[in-house]
Amino acid sequence: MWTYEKKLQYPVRIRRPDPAAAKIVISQLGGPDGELGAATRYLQQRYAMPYREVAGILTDVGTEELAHVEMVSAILHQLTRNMTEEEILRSGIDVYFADHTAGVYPAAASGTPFDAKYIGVKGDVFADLNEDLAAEQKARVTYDNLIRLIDDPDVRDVLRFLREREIVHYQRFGDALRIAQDRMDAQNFYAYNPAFDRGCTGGSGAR
Amino acid sequence: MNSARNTNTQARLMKQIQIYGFAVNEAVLYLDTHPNDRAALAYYGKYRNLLREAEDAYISRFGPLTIRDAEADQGWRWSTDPWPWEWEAACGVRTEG
Repeated sequence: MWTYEKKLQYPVRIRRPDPAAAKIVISQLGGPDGELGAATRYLQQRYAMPYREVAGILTDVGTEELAHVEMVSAILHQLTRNMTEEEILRSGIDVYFADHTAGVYPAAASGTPFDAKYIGVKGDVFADLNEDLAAEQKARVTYDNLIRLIDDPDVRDVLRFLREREIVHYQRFGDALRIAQDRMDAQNFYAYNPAFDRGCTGGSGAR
Repeated sequence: MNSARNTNTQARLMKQIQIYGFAVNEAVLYLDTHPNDRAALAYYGKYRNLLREAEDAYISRFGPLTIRDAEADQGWRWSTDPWPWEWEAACGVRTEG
């Protein structure tokens, strides 16, 4: 189970509200490569993961992603504080405001609500870990794109921190994939699924 | 025989942690909306202390419950001991370190 810690992983202090920036940053909350999808993806992949060290990295990265959901939400909250009606109309956030006011709702920059279709839980060690590696790279690209479009140093600083975490997670998932590959039976490489075919050499016996 | 006794001790401590943890959680939910209720504050304090005692006893013998409990001299048991959703963990198959 989880307990909440009353802190952000990294400080979020956005001095200048900017609803137009919030309109694009929101994709890292509820978009296809956002933090909510990341947390759900890793935490839900754990149950079919036969290697405890790999279940450990899924648990701990997934938990950190929950902290990133909170950080991105804090950015969105601070970017949209004290909005006037004129600012809402001028910034283009009016289409979001109509449904969600200044609440923080998980959606993509396009307005598409968060969808579990963004995540994969295949129940196969190699399918899942490769999905995770790709997911970290895609999230890194989205942060790159946001950093290109946003000038405010307060926002950029937090986005850069989050972008760096994507790279670290990619490296850790790379280690996890190597651990899993090392435990495969060379005779059966990719011919069986160690998450399911427990009777095969290298399955549960490889724990 | 000895390992069966350890398994029983571990299961007993875990049950205590779950009981005290649940009492703390209930108190927290109530106190969030009744922050000045002295009886509820005392209840919270009593079970928080019991929870800490049970957790300390568990951690010293059976490994970390959170990432802040791991002891360097025990190795990284965090990711090598069973995870709580495993059948082996549900059956109390865990070795004393």
